[in-house]
Amino acid sequence: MSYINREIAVSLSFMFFGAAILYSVYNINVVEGVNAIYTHSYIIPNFVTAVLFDWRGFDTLGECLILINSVLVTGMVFGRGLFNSEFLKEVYGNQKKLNIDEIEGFTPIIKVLAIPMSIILMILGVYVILGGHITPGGGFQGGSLIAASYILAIVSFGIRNCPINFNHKFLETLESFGALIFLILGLTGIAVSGYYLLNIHSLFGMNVFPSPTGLENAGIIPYLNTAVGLKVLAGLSTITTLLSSERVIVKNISD
Amino acid sequence: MVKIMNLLPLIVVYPLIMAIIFNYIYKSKVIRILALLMALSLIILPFLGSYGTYFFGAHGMESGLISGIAYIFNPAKQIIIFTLMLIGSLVLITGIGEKRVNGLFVSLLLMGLASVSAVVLADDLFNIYVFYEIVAIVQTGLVIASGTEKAYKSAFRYMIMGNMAGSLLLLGIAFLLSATGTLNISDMHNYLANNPATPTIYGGLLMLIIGLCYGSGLPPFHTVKADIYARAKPFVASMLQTYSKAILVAIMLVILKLFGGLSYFNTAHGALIALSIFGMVFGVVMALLQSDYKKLLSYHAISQVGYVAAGLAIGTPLGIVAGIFHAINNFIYKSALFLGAHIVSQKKSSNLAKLGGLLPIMPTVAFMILCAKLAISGVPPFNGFQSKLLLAEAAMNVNMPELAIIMILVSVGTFVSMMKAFYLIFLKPCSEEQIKEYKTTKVSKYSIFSLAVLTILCILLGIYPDIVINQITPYANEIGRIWTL
Amino acid sequence: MEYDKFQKQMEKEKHGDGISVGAGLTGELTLYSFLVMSVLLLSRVFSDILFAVIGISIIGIAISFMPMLFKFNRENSNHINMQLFWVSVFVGILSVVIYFAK
Repeated sequence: MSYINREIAVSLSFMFFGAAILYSVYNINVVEGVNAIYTHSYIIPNFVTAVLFDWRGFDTLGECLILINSVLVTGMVFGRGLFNSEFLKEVYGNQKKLNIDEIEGFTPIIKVLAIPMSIILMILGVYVILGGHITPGGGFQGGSLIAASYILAIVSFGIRNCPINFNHKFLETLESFGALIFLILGLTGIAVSGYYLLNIHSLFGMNVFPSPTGLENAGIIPYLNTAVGLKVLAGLSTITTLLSSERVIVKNISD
Repeated sequence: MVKIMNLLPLIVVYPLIMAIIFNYIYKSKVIRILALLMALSLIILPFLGSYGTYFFGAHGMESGLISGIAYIFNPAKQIIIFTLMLIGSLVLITGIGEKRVNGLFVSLLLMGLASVSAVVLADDLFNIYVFYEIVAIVQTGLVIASGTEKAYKSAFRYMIMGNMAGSLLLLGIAFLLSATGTLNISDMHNYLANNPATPTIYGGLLMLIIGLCYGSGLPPFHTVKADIYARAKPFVASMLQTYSKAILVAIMLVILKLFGGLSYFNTAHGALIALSIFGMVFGVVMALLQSDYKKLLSYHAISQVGYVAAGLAIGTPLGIVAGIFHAINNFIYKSALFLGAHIVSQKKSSNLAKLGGLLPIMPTVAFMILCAKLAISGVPPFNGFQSKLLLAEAAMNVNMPELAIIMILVSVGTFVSMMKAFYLIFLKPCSEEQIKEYKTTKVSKYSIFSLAVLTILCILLGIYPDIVINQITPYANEIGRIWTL
Repeated sequence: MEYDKFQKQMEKEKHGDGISVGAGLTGELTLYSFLVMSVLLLSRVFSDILFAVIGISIIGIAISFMPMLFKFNRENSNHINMQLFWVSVFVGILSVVIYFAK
């Protein structure tokens, strides 16, 4: 059966679609609108963080939940909580024991360099998370930096001998904890004023986040940043652990 | 003065918190009890909020624009969310009867419920997009939960399509943001109504329609969607199809609210009506060809999506009332049918060729399934009849008798394939051994309970449709526009 | 279209029993009447006699191509290449309708 007609149809339709998108992009004429409000009212020095965690904090919560869900579904793909694990047993059950983990790994040069690098990355990550409201950065970026350092260590040493070792259960706890902090900090907003995710500056006359003058409005933003950071680092690391080790699957399908 | 606190965000936030906790306790022994309590508490949620606009983080109107994220709550949304939560809790209750129920399943289900209610409530395009993505991921996860090879494959396909449609939807929202300078839907509509059209706005409209088709399973995404319904466990499929239909209603209403009454919306309007007709016909024709009960029901779910979309796409107040009412009825009877399929496949399998002679074994269940089947085919006095009547009336009122005729034809097709399935499952004579086999396998009480609740609702809404219609009418009058061909 | 041929074709796809063949025929007729109705609707929307003439000839051609059901079934199968093909055609047509129609 020849597909030439179909190929012509597809190329034509992509031509139209692409032309339509390009035509739209070419004619973009940005209206300032709500941007003017965001850029003219000062909350904290980092305006991006102000939009992310103050003006549109609920969207950020949603973004976090996308990550959480991806981690949950990845776990499910690897056999966690299935109603029926016959298929996975078929695929993984008869395999000979662990062949990937016994490979020696990379050369000593990489191993020697990887650990200092990943420690530096991790510190940078912590710094980026904590300074998210003042300097460029924030929870997502810092969390992914820490996760990247972990991935670097795993790639160069293999999951068995990795000197930086996060327990799978620990990562899971960290992730749930990060997301819960975010959700519950939002609830305090309801308790104080009736608005979810309200940026509370001071509670009982005390600043929620102790900070120098000029930063009084930071409020709960640094805490939200930390929560997102914990969540992102745990989420990405969990996915890496799942992808790099068969042990989890074998354990999941055994019970 | 003591102001009563508006707990509207709890509709979304409470299931999310519980979802995370359920994921954490994953395999604890108390999970069944907790899930039962959760199921009961879900039903209270829609009554917590008060009507009106709700601003997150107290970012309300500033210099004429809504600066933060806003939710709009009204009786119509309340009843949609109530039905959603009811189905959710019934599915949870059915899930308790499963052997390998676990925290992860409950968690994904709750995440989905919360996100779909967020999509229904939100008056903000980007917020809708974020939760729409969560629903897509949750649906993938719930399909994989059944754990068969086919489930993995279809979930993977669904994810591939989801990548495409989701990123296009995001692009569309970016177009609309750049063209109008706001993400709030009411503000955006004001801007669009007072300013000339630009190609960028066309781009936004195009992408919104593509996102709508993926989220709801209108063609050309109907095959992927039907596949994931069929590969999931049947009682999970009843949840999946409820998610899809709620998203359809929400995004369709957004499109109508944004572009309704604008001159350049006419062609897109035609495209939406055409898509809904395609959905109806393709769904039912494919369903007539199936020999697997789950697959048959899945294609009917697509066909019913077409009905709902047709009602909403007509865009008159009557059409919107009919569309939303049909969506609600559909939540109910389609979930009942999937739960019925769950009971049937617990007895033996879902392959129609292998079944037969189940009527004497479980007459009550057969009766309840028959009720749901009659409801989906639009037979009085069930709820499907009321909403299909309204839909046909709406089509006649805009001077489109052809659309009404197609609806009736599709109804006939639905009736034929439903009766075929009923005959093959319950009436077809079968051997003695098979009857013995039927008698040894047990069906969980929980699923029969859920089925019974849904059947009662089918009859109740069929006799007193005004309970729902009166709630929807004000909102429909606000959004709808009267026109004739 | 003859009933016997149709039944043979259905048997090939493993639903040969009476009630399934009946359901298949209903599907075929639904598809056909959908075609007729949409041609009617389109010719009325664009109030064009030429359109009506073309439409009637399409209906005629469709009769000679009956049964369309099996081709339709193949196009709606679960192969990812079929799905991607129809999605790409869909986005093309939709962009033409939205951008370039009057």
